[in-house]
Amino acid sequence: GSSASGNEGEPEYKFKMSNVSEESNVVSAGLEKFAELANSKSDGRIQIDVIHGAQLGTGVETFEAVRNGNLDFAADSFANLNSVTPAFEIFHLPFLFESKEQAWNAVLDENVMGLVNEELGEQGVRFFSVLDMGGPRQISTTDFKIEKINDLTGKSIRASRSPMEVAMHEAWGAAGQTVDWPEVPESLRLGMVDGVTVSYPYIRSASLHEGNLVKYIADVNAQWFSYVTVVNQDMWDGLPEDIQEILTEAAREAEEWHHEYVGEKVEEDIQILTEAGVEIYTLPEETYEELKEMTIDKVWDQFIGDPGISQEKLDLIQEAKGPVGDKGWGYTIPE
Amino acid sequence: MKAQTNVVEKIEEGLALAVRVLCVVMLALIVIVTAISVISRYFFFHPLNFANPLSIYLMMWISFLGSGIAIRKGEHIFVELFINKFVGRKRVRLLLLINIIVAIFLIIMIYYGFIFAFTGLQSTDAFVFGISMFIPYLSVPIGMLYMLIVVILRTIIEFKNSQNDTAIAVNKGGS
Amino acid sequence: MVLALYVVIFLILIIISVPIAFALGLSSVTVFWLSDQPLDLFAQRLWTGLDKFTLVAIPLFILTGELMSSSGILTRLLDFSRLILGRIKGSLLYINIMGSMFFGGVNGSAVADTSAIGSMLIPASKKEYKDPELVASITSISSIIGPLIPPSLPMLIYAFTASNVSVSALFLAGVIPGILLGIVLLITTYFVVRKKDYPILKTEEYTLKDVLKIIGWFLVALILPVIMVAGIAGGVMTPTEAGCVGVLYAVFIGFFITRELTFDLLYKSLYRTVVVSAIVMLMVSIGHVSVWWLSIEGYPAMIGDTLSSFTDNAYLFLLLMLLIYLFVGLFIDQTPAMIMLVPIFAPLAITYGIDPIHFGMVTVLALAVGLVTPPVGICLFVSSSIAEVPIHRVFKASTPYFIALGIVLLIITFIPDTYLWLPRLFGY
Ligand code: NA
Ligand code: NA
Repeated sequence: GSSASGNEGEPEYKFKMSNVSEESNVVSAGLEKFAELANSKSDGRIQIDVIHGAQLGTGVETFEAVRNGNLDFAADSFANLNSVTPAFEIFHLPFLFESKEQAWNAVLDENVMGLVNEELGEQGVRFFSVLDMGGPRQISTTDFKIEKINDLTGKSIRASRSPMEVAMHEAWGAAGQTVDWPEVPESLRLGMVDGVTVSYPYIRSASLHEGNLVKYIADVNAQWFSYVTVVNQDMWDGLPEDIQEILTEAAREAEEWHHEYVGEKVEEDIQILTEAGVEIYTLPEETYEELKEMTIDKVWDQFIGDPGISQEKLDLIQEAKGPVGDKGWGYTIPE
Repeated sequence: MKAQTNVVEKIEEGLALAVRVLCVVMLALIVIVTAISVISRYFFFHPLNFANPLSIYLMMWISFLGSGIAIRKGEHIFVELFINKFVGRKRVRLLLLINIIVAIFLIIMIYYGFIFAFTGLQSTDAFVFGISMFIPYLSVPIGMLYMLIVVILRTIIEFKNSQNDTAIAVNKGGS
Repeated sequence: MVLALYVVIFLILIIISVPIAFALGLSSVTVFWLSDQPLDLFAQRLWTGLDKFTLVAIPLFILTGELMSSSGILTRLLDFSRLILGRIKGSLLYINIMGSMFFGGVNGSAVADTSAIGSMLIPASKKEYKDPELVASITSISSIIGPLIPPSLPMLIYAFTASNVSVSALFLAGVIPGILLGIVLLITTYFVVRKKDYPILKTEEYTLKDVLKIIGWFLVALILPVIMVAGIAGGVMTPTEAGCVGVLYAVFIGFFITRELTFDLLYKSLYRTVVVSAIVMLMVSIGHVSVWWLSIEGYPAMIGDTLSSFTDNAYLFLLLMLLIYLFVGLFIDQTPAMIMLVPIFAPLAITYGIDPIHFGMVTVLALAVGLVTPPVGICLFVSSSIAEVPIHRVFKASTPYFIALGIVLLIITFIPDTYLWLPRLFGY
């Protein structure tokens, strides 16, 4: 838990935050920003040590550590947390959000997050903040382009250990093959999978654009996923109100700052990908709509009603997300 | 005295037989599950996403339980420089010391291993038939517990036998 | 301070013969506790240390090796070696080395090689040549060819501990060093045997039918490592799947082709595999925790800084590594040494611009040397106990082989282009 100390100049509140991603990852800058803001806003009373690169353990491990009170904050992608909590699964419904604005409207909505916290609360964990990971999942493929709706039939696509991602691949007529992230380049090379559904920064950071592992990326914004921070509920409740306020404020400001930062980073990544000869393309409007309908039809019904994916929660999200707006995800793809 | 040793020996051997059969079955299962998943992926275009994590969980159980078998066979790798300089009662005392040291580690790991395993009660693996993560996590404390039982029982048995000759629990004691 | 305590506790424990895994465990628990890490995290890390699908390949590779012997595949490989080398002076010694090249191609565990080939060839060689020291020495030294020639268990462990190193690339890289070592040992044996007055063994007269039969069997046996390596390197299978294919092939051959495998033998092979893999996995698991503790405390970076202030020359670095490996290998077995050292040294090698695959070859071979040297070389122990000769006499007989081994080790360390072209040809 946090430790209070009275020494002059020493921080009164010291927190340890585990970050699964490497320090160079786009999300890590957002967490550092949060730590920096919390420190300056509290005039040095708060100190947050962000420990990057999964040094304190995997997402599942660190979330369990927060749950048991051994760690103050843990941060990881929604996508890896399925086995510890179903609370975030609903945000993975494919094509739920069609712009960044909608996604953020939903995750910052009090009613929606109230429900999420209710579910997390059973485990003694509290939702704290969320960061953009560089947009939704796109469909990247090795050596073929998606032109028709059934072009994915008979292909095998890599999924994280998420049943919903697998279901999405299956909705496209493909096979969803779970492969742990470090093994992805090898399994593309081995031809075990013909494609991967991740966001742009991950293609780049895993160097999938090199050695012809990925040649095409369909910009379909298929499934939104994000980076979440949780905090131990008891530890949080034990904090004075002003400290809670400063932490919350710092988190919101860091999120704001991070939006622009991420946008620029993703554009850099996209530039590197296209310079390496990767073709990023959009589907014709009709095909896109058809893909979207087909996916929603097959996946949503399969999961709504499962733990953490209640109709009530979905209704709240639909209400909170608001209009599509510019359909953008915080970055532009050069023609 | 003799009869008492025999009972302990019988218990120890019975337990070892059960663990041995269990581990062999789990290893065979890994081969079968992996084979089926390869066949399914190549010939039926259907990845069995439960196969890999299931094999991992089985492997973990084999590793921690099997370590207990390796203890009773004195097969864990150790540096054989020093022990051969010891003979007779001195050797028996050194072996007792080694067993106590190993037991201390095991007791610590059993205690914290159970604490760890209970954290898995609320987690599940959606791919492996939705099992509670408690089950794979349990491999750590149960494996350590079996190792501790082996260390204790072998120490008793071999101490009783040491009147006749020296035999060893954790270490075979060089060749 | 804490690091010193960690090292001291570990050394005391291994000196008094506590098994390495437990010595590492207890020294790590102590420093874990002293540095305020929660101990249930220690238990959790033991578990996560094994939560990798690639690791499932380890028991499957070991099982393939076990089944090689119980399915009678090994005997066929030796028959073939006898067919081509049986008529020359000292033939059994050459057969021993060639057998290790073929058998090592499947198992890749030097100890298994020593005991399997040793128990088949040492008694006969001893009787014919009355030179048990040399026989034991050749058996033990040639067994370290196995870890180089793919598929190889030590390479798998290296790939795992170094992380982000392709198993296929390592396997491909080991082919040439393995064959090179085999040839160098054969040549050394030629010079050693020339001076001796060994009898030329009477070999049975082979009919054409016999010859064809032996070659046929040899091909059946050779298919096993070939499908495993081709499958992995050619991008068809993961190492774990290749291990599974190896097991199934050996079972099939044993039951239906050689008909030497029984359910009883199968059970024994499975049981042997359980024990051997548990020993390896427990070390992997505990080693994972201790390396994790070292890295959160920043020690690898510290070691890196110290080294780079000492030299920024890659060759000097390699020489230093070689010396460390040879020294550590004197006392600690190859597997635990790799588990403890590779996570620290492999990232360092990269900062010196050394190809991780090159570094892998150096690591595997240099640490394998310790398997055949006193005071604790396990292969040396096994072969001298089968031959029933004292270790120091076997060691003395090994002198020309150590010179040969040293030359190969230097080539592999300092002229990596001699073998790295093969993995590069496949795009690594
Ligand atoms: Na090998
Ligand atoms: Na040999």
